[in-house]
Amino acid sequence: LTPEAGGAVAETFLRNPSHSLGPESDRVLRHDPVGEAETTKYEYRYRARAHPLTLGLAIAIALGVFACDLLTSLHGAVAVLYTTAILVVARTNERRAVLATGVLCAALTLTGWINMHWSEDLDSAALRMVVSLTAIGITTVLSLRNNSARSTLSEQARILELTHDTVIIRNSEDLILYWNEGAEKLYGWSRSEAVGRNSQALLKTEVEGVRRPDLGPSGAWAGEILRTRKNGDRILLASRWLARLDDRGAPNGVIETSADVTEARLAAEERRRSEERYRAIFNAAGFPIWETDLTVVREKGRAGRSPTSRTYDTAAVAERAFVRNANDAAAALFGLNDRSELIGMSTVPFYPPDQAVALHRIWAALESGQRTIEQESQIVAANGRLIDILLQVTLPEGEDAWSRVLVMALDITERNRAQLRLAQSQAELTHVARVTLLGQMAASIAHEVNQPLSAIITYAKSGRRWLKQEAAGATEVEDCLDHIVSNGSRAAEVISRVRAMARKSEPQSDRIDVPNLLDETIALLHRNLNSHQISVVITAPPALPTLFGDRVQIQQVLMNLMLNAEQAMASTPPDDRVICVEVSVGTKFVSIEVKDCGAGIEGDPELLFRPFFTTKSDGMGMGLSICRSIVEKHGGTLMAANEEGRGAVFRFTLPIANEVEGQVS
Amino acid sequence: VTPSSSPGRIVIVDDDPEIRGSLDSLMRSSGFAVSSYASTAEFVSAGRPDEPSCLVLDVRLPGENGLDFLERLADLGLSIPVVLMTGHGDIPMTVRGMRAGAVDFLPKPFTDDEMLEAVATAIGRDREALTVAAVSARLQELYDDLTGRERDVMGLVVAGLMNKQVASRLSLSEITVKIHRGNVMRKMEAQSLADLVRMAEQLGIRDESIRRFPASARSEPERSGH
Repeated sequence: LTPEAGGAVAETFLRNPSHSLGPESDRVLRHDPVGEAETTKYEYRYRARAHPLTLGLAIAIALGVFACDLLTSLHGAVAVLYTTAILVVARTNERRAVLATGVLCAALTLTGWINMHWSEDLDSAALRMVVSLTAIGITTVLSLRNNSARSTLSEQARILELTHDTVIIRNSEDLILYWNEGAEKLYGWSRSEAVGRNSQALLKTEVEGVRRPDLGPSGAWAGEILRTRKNGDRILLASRWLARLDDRGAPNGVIETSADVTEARLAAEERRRSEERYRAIFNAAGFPIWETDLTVVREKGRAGRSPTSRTYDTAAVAERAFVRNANDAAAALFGLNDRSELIGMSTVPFYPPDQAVALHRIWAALESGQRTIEQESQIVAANGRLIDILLQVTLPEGEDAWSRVLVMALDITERNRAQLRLAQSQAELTHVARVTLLGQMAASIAHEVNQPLSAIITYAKSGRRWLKQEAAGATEVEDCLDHIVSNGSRAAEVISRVRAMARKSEPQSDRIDVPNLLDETIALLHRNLNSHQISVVITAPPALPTLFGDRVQIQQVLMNLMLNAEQAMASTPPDDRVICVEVSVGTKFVSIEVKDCGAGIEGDPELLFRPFFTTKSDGMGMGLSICRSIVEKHGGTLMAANEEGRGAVFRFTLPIANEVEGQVS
Repeated sequence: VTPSSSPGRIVIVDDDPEIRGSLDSLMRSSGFAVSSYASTAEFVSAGRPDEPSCLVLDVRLPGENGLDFLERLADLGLSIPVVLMTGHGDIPMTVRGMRAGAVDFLPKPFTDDEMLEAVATAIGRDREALTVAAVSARLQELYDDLTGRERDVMGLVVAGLMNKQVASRLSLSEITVKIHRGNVMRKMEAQSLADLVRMAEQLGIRDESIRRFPASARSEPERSGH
């Protein structure tokens, strides 16, 4: 063995990194003496480290060579054979053993030479000894290098075994030479089943219809292939092929590594379809949707916003908050012809300045961590149309959520108009009901006015008569005049009360003082109640909070309830005709109860609040329904119930407004 | 105060103090005395004044209304002429009021003349009624002074019997009858027999047993009427 030969062995390992050799499961590479270079077979054998037999063999070889050296008188470099012992030890992968063997062999060579040729001159024997020592040295060094290369190789080989990808090596005749664990798992055939088989016959590879891809001059190919598993499944693989070169650099089979992408491909396909569906919905939706990049808001929220003012710089946001995507409905909403006109620009400039508050509210809500925000606002479309919109802003999940905030909008202009019209007709209906109510009291109201007028006339006439009398006159006339004045203002008061009730005006927000409201209402009903011999008992706590609302409408409710109570007691004996008005104060509401002593409510009290439901022959059935809508518009409730053994109770509540809120609205 | 000398007293019942006050002033300026009450109950408990009076009554009152009270007046033993007033009188109400004996029915607002005229009429009626009542009371007083026998004689004399017939009826002598008759004329302060007959009519003391024609003959037409 020459040092060159040792190097060639090492090179074989290096050139074929996939011929893996692991420390636990070392594979011994064995050249088949018959099969020439290309029919290399791999054999696997498990063995313990630093096998004692190997060491024994090495020692035996070394001693054998030493004996030959001493006992025979061969004139040749017998000591060169010590390298055999070194190579045997080299298989153990033990560096120190190799080194020790090298040193031992060198020592034996020297001993042999000293023993045989010490007394001789430095002749050919000395030269042979030096050649032998050099061979031993080179062999030792190469064995050590080979040893470290083998460690690296075994690392790489382990990685190959551990990888999920399949690694297959085929020769130029397409016979499988190597088959890793990944291949076993994926294709289903074990290593012993696969090695030596024809890969095409086994795997039925298909590459876009071609039987096998051309590796080309680069000697490499990457792409997707279809193969059949042991169980017959066709699977899709992402594969990389590399030409395997022989010692002369000529193509000699293929090394290929493949990964199953069937699942990934299916998932990707599903993702693509889902994406398509989403896009179709997005584009075809009848309502406006757009995706907008609000990253800037988040940044501005941190940096561009002073902590005290807590406002946003709308213009700065408008510069950078652009629309990433929008559908045609969104473009139409903004008065644009095509969605492409909207994409890439900001929607912020469409909002009139007074709507900045609404935008700020949305941004603040997003910043505070809300995922979905609903906000009403207004935009001025490109065609100048003012549109009321209801925005639904959604912050999606994920890292880049702020860069694709989803906004859906609903054009509520029509709805708002309809609501306005509804509110108007409701106000009109309320007014009609109020006038009807006044109509019910027309007689008593006329009486209320007539009384003072009558008194005025009588006082005036009386005054004139007093004037004619010479004595007595002055004080009597003065008295008459005083009464004329007081009765005049009394009549005027009644008229203004009635006019306030008959007034047709937009709902107002007044300060309502409850006791005063009760007094006024009872003053209006005074005659009516008197002539029906009804007494009114009011219970109220001494201090009542001020309420805010439309005073006239609340009075209307109270009047309606009291008139109902009065009518409910038509058949009650006069002595028992009492209306109790009880005011109580809760934490958030003031509640006012109107109780009568009538027959109570027949059937479900809720029916009373249905429009056109009436128990009276001449009733329209709108009174209570309107009362309820008035109270509810004020944020309260109106309920009816029967009080056991007494009569009906109508209870309505009104929220206690705090000062500031009341003044704002 | 005698019925003839007083100008009269107006009693006002109205729940509205201003109406009461204005009427009070008006009535006083016209020389009437005035009492005013807020309700009929107050008036009932005070009773009617002795002098010639008139009740000015509002129809619409809390509790009992004016018309109901008017219909109940006689039962209460209160005889007083009534002027009704109302804020809004309708015809049925007026009819009912007049039928119940109201002197007048005035809708508010009324003129002072209307009211004063109505009140004057009512006072006049009351004055008359009071006078009649006063005369009857005097006659009753005189009659109460008569002895039993004198009352018997008076009853038969005013029925138109001659002294002789009276004597025979009472089993008295004609002279005794003449003395009793003279006493009756003197005590009753009658100027003539006709005077005495009128007084007896007022007192309602005619002897019903004296009949010129048989009772059966008088009831004949009634029977034929059936």
